[in-house]
Amino acid sequence: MVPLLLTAAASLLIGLFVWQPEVQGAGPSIPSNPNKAQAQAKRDPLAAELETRLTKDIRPLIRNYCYECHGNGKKKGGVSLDGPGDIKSIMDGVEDWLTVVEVINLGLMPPEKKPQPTAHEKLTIQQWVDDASEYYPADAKPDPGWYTIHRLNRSEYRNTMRDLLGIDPAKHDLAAQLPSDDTGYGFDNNADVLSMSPLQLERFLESAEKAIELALNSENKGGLYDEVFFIKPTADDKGNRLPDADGKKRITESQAARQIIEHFAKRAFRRPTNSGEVATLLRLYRSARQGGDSYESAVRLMLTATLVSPNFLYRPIANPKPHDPDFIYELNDYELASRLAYFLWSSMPDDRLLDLAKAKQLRKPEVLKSQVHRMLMDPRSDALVENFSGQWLLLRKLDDLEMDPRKFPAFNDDLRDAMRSEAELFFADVLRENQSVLTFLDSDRTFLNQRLAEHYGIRGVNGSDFKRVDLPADSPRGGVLTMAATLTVTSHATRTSPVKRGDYVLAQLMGSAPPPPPPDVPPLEVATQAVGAEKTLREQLAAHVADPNCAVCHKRLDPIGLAMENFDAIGAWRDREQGKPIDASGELPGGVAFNGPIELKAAMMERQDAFVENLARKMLTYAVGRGTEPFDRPTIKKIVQTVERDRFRMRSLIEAIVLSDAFTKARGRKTQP
Amino acid sequence: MTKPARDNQTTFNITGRVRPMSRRTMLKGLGVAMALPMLDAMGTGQALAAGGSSATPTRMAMVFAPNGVNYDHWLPKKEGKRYAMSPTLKPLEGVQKHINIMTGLTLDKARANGDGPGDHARSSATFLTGAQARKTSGNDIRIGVSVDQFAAQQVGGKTLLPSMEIGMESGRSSGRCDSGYSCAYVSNVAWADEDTPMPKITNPLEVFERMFGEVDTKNVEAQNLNAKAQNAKRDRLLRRKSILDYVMQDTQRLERRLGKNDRKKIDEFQTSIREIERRVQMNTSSEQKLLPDIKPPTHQPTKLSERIDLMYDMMVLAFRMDVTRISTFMLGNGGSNARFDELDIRDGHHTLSHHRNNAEMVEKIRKIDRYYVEGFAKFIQKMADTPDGKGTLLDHSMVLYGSGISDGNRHNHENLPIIMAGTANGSISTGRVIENRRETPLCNLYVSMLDRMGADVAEFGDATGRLSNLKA
Repeated sequence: MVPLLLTAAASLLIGLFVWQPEVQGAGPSIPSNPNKAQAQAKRDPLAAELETRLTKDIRPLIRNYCYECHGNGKKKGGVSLDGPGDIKSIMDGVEDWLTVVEVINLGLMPPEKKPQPTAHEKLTIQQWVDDASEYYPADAKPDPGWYTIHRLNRSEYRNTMRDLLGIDPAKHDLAAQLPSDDTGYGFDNNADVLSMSPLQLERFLESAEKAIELALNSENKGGLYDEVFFIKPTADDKGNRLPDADGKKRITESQAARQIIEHFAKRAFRRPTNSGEVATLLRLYRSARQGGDSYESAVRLMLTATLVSPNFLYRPIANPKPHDPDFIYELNDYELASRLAYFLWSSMPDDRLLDLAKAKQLRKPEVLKSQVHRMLMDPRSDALVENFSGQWLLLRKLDDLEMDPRKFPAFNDDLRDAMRSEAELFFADVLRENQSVLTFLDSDRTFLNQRLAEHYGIRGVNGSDFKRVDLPADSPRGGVLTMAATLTVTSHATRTSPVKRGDYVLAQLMGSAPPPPPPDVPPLEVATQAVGAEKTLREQLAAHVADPNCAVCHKRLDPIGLAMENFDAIGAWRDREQGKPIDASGELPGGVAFNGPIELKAAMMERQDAFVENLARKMLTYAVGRGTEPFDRPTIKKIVQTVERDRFRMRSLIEAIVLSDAFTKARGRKTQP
Repeated sequence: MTKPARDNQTTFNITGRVRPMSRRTMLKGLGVAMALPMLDAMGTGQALAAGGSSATPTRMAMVFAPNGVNYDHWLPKKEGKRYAMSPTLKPLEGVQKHINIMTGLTLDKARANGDGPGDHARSSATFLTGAQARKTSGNDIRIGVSVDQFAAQQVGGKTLLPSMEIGMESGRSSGRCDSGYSCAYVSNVAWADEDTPMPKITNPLEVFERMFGEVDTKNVEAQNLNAKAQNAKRDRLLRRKSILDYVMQDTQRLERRLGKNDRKKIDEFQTSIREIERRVQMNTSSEQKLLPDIKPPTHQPTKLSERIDLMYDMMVLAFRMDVTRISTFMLGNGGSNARFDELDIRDGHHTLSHHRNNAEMVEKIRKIDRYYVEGFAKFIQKMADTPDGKGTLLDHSMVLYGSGISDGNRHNHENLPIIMAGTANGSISTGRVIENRRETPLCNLYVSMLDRMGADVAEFGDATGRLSNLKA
């Protein structure tokens, strides 16, 4: 077996690389014609980055380890690693680059007796090849991507039950017993990750029973109660008049049951039902009656069953060619109504949306825009604030965060809640007042109550209610970065973490997360033991930059976090650490220098394009419930351009997402191997 | 063999060691499945499962501890035939004769194998599956069926619950989980198939209610099911049955309109319907009575150790009442950063596990290791004290305790800390340190456990055979 496999692996090496022409010395990439060089001037920055990394990082390595046989014109076994190194040749050769990584990782190359690349060098090659294989030109035609049938998550289920049945989740949380949903790409509404298990279904079944019981309780008038009991049968199914039905229009129990379920199923399924669907539900009613159930009990059974139907628990779309990646399906108006409602409300569409869908008006761009506006002004959009900002800004982490009470006695549930409220109110304000999304990076106002204002050292805010506060001109606060919530969720229980804060800025805000640390990395306390624990964090962190393996990423991470060292682990201001004044100056690779949070924010503002692109990507991920893929780049680029043209307003971001192909269309997906 | 273990793309490097390909290079087809050689003459699963002695069923419990251990303080010293407990395992002294310390076991598929960092996600994802997790934040999750579910799918049909998944920490609520791995890999060890995790319950009362029905927390004493309540319960079950019939019809109608990828999602749904139908069937056909000494856990203790005890109690209860014979228990999620107030340790578990031999931090890790072992020891003692058939529950069980990482500081996946307890109806000899050759797949042990559960197993995870040393 082994020889066979070796043969198979070796065959991969035959007839590999296709790059032409061969360039002697493989210096910086030489574009093959001048037109191309011109085009390069305004070209895609990502393409330029890949080219630069090839020249700067990858070429020297393969020159060292591979060129003896596979470069500078030599092509042992037919394999040559020469090539012009422009983005087109990189893309054309991606499969071959993947093979290079493969044979290196398998230890097949370089040959055993030859010098071997270090683990770090292998990783450098692999990361570049990974990035290259994910490259997608930003100017290509937008690809809507696939749609995966979407199970309601906890929050969606809770809100849908509220809107469908009129049950107040504050009194009866019907999602309380559902298992927690796993997250993917940072959000818990990722369709691929949302799964079903016997436990999950069992809980859906129990919740459905409980929900119908509650909804049809006479104490719960309004909502479903009225709908069900408004329709009163006046005759039994044999045609006999029921006792108190004198003079009323004749309607048999079966007819009443049909009316009730037709109306209810349409709302529960968020679209018109077909006759087969209604018939199956009515069969349930009839068999219950035949088994001796009362009219009301049989109706209850039918209603309960509707809430366990896959048409209720999932959101399917009717793409007729689900396996054809070239077929672009336009979501129908009902599907679009659901998608919109679950994006902005984490709940079902309301009557207005369903009416527009019925009239086939919803897909018109101006109608969609006006609906977005209406929906954002509706309190149901609190769900967007809570779920999107809660996960984007990691606010949910506050819930189960424990700070060391000896070091941070001020941290208690009041403060925790206040931190979260500030961030949520701020997000909601940007959303509803349609402000610039750049406000997240810096702002001259925020939302405070007395507790949090005191924590920030700001006077004049009294009481536990929050109010909008204009920040003093010299305040370091303003924007997400310097909110206590952010500063706390990026700290350890006992101290600040400049690394985590740097990572937060890069990953959550700027969209350029460095790769995670290698596995055997020690925590700071250990790595810097030699330095001594009495040193400031800055002094301890210097150890990172001393080790070249760490320096690659920490040169980017640490300066950002250190600029925020004036905030302690729960976000209060401090001037000194370990008795020494805090030095909050720093410089990023490339020469961007700053001192303290105000200058850091200004430096981030300089990179507002990166911030907006990242926010667009995160919100698209949330809106479509699917991780973004390389093919989403054109869609995201288009969204970003729209937002920029409209002075970065929040609503234009949401509108652009809602109008994008990724939101309104779907294509098929090849079956997984 | 009803459900083949997933064919991880495997290939051989020059030295012949099995090694999966990296995520990207998966594109190339060098796949080869490994069938288990029928190495030993242990006989069929059925024979083992019956234990040769009684008809008392064998139970199987798998306890997952996060972040590995400090191995120096873990490994006991062998002294001739006997062995002396290590400092970490000291709490197990009282039950030493019921347990085996396993050495040399390895989870190769928890290694990076070209996928880069993410050992914590892999340690939980691979722990019971022995499969390489596809590195993804969500799209195309892929791992393999876990050993407990493998058993449950074949032999779990005899009890109300084919299996029971419990844990101490619910899923992560936001953010990234571990180095580009979906949180699903981190918060689940039980997998029904390659992309369907079995979520766990983290509240003891919910576990109790799943076994015995809803508890009236305001009136626990009156719980014990008078005739009227019994009738109401039966009535509800019958209604459930008709609802499930309807849902199945509705599902079949929907399925016809869907593509294959979505159909997989609906398959999960249908499997779940069938499972609940089976359970309803069972519930309506058997009288279920609580024994008077069983009280629902209506109070959630504040101490972590007591909450852990309570969860273990639920497992004892489930086995004792034969509600299930298979259970998994996650003491923490992969890379858990739990804090231990009782030990006066303020830093998180994961943070501390990267101690790089800092004496103070190593000491804290040892305390945490021992803390978890203490809870396990109490559980084993309870199993040994609970009568079952002609012996005790422990006599009819095999309990595995361990981690998918060996040393939390090094993130290595060989020489895993694994304890086995119980004789599985006399088919395992206990009171020993069982030494295995280096790099013996942990899955070899799983295959031997599956034999004892009466499951028919031709291949599982990366198993290369069976362990022949369980019976002395």
